[in-house]
Amino acid sequence: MNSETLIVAFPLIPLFALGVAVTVHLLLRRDISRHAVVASHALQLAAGIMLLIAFRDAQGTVRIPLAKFAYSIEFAFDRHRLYFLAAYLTPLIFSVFRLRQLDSFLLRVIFLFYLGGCSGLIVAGDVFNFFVSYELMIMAAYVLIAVRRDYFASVKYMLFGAVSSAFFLAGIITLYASGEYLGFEFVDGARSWPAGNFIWLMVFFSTAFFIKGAFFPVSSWVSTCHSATISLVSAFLGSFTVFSGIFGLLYLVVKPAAALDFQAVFVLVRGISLLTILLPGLFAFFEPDLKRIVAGSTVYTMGFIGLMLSYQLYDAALAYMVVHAVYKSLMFYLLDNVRLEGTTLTGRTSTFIAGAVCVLFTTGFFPSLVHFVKAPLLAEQMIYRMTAMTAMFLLAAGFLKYRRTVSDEPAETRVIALAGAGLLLYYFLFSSWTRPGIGGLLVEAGLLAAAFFGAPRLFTALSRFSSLDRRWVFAGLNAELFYVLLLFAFALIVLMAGAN
Amino acid sequence: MNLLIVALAMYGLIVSDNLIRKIMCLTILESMIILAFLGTGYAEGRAAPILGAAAEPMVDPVPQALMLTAIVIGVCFNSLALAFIVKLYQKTRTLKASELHEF
Repeated sequence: MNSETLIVAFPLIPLFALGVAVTVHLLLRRDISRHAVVASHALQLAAGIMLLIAFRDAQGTVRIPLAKFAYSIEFAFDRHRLYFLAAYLTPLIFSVFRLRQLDSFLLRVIFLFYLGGCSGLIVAGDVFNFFVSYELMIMAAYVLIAVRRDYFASVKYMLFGAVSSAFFLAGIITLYASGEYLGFEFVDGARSWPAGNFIWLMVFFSTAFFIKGAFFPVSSWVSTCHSATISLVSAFLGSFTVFSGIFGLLYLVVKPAAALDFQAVFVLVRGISLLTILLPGLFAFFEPDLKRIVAGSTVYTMGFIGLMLSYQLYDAALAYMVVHAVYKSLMFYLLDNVRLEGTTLTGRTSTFIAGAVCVLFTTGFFPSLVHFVKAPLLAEQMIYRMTAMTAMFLLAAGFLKYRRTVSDEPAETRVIALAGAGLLLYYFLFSSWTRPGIGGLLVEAGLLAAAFFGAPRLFTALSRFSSLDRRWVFAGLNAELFYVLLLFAFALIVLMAGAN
Repeated sequence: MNLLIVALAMYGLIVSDNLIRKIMCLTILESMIILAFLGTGYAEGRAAPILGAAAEPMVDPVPQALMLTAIVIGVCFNSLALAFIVKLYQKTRTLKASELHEF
C-alpha cells in the first residue's frame, strides 16, 4: 500500500468501522461495536506506524486532491504532521486499557465518530476540510464529555468551541474573499492581496486558535471540560484534541507569518504564550481537585509550545507535544487508582512513583525530557527563565500539596510500563541534550525541594486566599466569554500596530 | 448591517445570563458569518448555480457549497446544545450561567 492511499484511508478507518457497526445493529440487531472499535484501533495503529516510517525523512508536502476541481477536498501530509500523528496514536494505544469504560453501543459509536474527526484533522490539506474534521471531532467530544452527566462542562465547551469556530469561519471568508483557494499554501498569493487582508486573516485565525488551544486568557474551559469525563476521553482531550489549536496556529498563522516576515504575529504569540505559561501554576496551587489540576496543567504546555513556535523551533515544540501526550494520558489513567479526600491522596506506592515522574515531566524539572526540549527556548531571554521557574514551582507545589497515604488499590503496572517504554523511546528520538549549567541545576533542585517539603504547609497557610484565581481570573462564564473579545481586540491592536 | 448584528450577537453572548439566550446569540453570530460568506460569491442578476440550467452567468457556487456544510454543522450544534440544556435544567432547575458556574 503506497503512502498516498494510507493518508486517504487513515481517517476513513474509524468511520468505516462505525458504518459497519451501525449497519449490523440496524439490520441484524447485533452489537458488534466493541469489535469495531478494536478493529479500528488495530488498523489505525498499523496505518499510523507505516506513515511514521514512510515520512520520517520526507521533505516537502504530499498533496492529494480528491478531484481535479480547484476547490476539491484535499488531503496532505508532511514531516511536521508526524508529530500530530504520534500525539494521536499515544492515547489511542493507552485507550486499549480502558475500552470497557465505553459501556454502551451509543458511546462506542460516538467514540468512533470522534476518532474519525481526530484523524481527519491530521491529514486535512485545506482549511475547509480542517474545519469539517475539527467540527466532527468536537461534536462527538461534546457528547463524550457529558458521559458522567456533567452537562455544564459540555455546554461550556460548546460555547467556547462555537465562538472559536466563528472566528475560524471569519478567517476562511477573508481568505476566500482575497481571491485564494482554500489550501494551506496561500502565502504566495498573499503578497498581492489588498492591504489589510493579511492582517485581518491573522487576527481571525490567531484568535480562533488561541481559543481552541486554551491560551491565556481563554483557558479555564480546559480544567472544567477535560476533567468532567471518563479517563479514556480525558486522555484524548488533553493529549490530542486541544492541540488542534497548535495545528492551526502552526499551519495558518506562524508559518505564513514567517514566510512573509510579519514579525508582529510573533510578538503577539510570545506575549500571549508567556502569560499562558504563568497562569496554570497559579490555578494549580489553589485548586483543590487533583483531576482539574491535571487537566488545567495542559495549558502550561500550550504556553511553552506557543513560545517555541514563535521562535520557529518547530521540531522542539512538536516533540514537546508528543511527550506531553504520553505523560498526560498516564496521569489521567493513574487518577482512576487514587482516592482524594480533602487534601489526602490514597493509592499504591507504584502509582505515587509513576505520578511523581509525571509531575517531573509536567513541570519540566531536570532530568525530565521536557527540560531538555525547552532548554533552547529558555536560553533566549532571562524573562522566559524567570517565568518558567515561577510557573514550575507553583505547578509542582500544586501537585505536591496533597498528603499521601499508601493503600492496596489495584496497580496499573501494564499502563505504567507502556508509558515508561514510550518515554524512554522519546528520550532517544527527541532530545537535543543541551547540557544544563550547575547553577541552573541547583536552582531547579532548590525549587523542587521547596515545593516537595513546603507545599502542604504553604497551601494550608494560604488557603484563605484559595479563591484568588477564581475571583480575579475566572470571574464567571460571562467574564470568560468577554475575555474572547479582549483577546480579539488585543490581537487586532498588536497586529495593526506591527503592520504600520 | 452584518457587522452591527455580529456586534449585537457578541454583546448578547457576553451579557446574557440565560444559556438558551446564549445559544440563540451564537446562532445569530454564525448566521451572519454564513451570510457574509455567501455575499462574497453573490453577483446581481446572475443565476443560481444549478447544473443543467440555462447557460447564463451564475453566481460563485463555492461559498454556497461550503456554507451548506457550515449550516448542517450549526443545526447539529443547536440540537446538541439545547438537548444538554434541557438535561442541565432537569438536574439543576436553573438556566442562569451565574448560578451554574462552578468556580
